[in-house]
Amino acid sequence: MFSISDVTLNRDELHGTLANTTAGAIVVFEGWVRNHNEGKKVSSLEYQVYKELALKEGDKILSEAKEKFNLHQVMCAHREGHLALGDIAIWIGATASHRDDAFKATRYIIDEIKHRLPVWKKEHYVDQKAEWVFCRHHHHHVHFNEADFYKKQEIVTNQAKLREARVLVVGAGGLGCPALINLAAAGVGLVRVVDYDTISISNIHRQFLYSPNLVGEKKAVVARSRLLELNPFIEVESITERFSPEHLAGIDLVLDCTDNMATKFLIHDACFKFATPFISAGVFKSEGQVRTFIPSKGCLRCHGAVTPDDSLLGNCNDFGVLGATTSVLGSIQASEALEFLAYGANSTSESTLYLNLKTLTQLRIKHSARPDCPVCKGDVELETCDLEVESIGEARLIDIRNLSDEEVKNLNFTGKVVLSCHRGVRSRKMAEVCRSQGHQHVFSLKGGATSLA
Amino acid sequence: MFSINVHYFASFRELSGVDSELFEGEVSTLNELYEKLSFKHQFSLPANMIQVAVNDEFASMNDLVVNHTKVVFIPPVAGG
Ligand SMILES: [Zn+2]
Repeated sequence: MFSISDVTLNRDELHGTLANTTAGAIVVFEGWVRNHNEGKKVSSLEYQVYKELALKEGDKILSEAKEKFNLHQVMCAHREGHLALGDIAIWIGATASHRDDAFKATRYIIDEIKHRLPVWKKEHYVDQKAEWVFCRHHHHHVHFNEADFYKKQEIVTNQAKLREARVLVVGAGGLGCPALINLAAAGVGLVRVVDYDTISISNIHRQFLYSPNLVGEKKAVVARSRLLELNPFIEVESITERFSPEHLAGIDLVLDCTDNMATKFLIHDACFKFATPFISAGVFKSEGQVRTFIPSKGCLRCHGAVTPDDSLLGNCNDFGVLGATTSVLGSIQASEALEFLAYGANSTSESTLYLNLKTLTQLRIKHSARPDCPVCKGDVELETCDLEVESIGEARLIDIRNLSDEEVKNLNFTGKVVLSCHRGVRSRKMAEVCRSQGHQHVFSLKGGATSLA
Repeated sequence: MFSINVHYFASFRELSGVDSELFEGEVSTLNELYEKLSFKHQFSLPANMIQVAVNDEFASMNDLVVNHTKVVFIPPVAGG
């Protein structure tokens, strides 16, 4: 599917391999060698490819596109060696039943190739010395100098500390979008984004990384590509799963930008277990709160708090919120993160900030650690947030085979509840529905009742 | 008799309709104070899910109420 060629690419031949009567559309993208770049006159190009790795990564990108966009077939050829003006540098063709899929897939493939393929490009110019251009980042950035990017912030932070920092942001929604933009723009060396959700049209008024043409896409994937466009000098990783403690591996600081208590308390407990500092925020209408948690300053369990039931609380989707509100709170999280990373301390580790954006008043509550609190010392049992469980444990099992969807939705969900059906397909769907209604302690039995026998 | 300056946050403020109020009466723990005010204002959250602060420092619901202090009840806030 993916090939690298050291001779001129033949577009008719490539096109011919994709001919198919069941496909309704083909979209072809060709990248050409043009005669100018960044104001310089280009005479020819030279590509060097780390072939072993590029072939593997190229095939991976094409498989991803094929699965993501329901493609019939997909083909991509990349040149190496010396190319003249007008030559085809890359050829991508994607066939699908629907044109929209084919358009999106081609776009996805070229973007991913630009980011991920180990390819180096040397430009030969008409009137100056040839130079190597860093191809793994977007073309319009390549001639910029990293130090210039941070010129206006270097006296207010410690850029070297930010550059070596590895930050995990859980939730790329109303709080996560502004937090991510600020962290990426400031030059945090590695940003890892965790979000399992897809973009919906009602997210966009407060989730400024997204736009209507991206509805249905995975938030974490879109966030990654937007952030790399914004700052090509950093690394961004995307994980399209629910938060799990293994996402903390190698991380210096976590930002909890989630919108439900089950995940918030899982992040809380996991961060204390693995001694990772984290900054949590929450929003209620025009009020919000921000707290940085570090082990010596106490935890939420110091004073006996249990994980609240989300169905008693509601979230932004239920009570309504303005993008102006979430973006202030998410930006405060980022500002506190940058302070902590650069200087090792910040204000919200000493006391929680409660901010009212209607009255513009604030309240600060001082932290203290209970000396004998086991959670502060990392002694804590983690609850799972996964939708599916393999055993029932302490939970209550409810067989939904003889219940209608409406009856399932109106069940009594106090405590941990596991739904089961014949094979675990419908119970998974219904558990998802119940979670979206705020019942975060509803699970589905993997494999269904047959797995218990 | 105790005289306590009680402040509310987020949904508690909405349900009570006030930012703060003076509580006057007999009460032993913060938990008991919360139960009394829950009854008055129809707060529905269980006491073990909320946070409480005394004189702007986090405290436990089992702590004894101290006369003439400022008490803030804070519900969990998830949205984002
Ligand atoms: Zn603790």
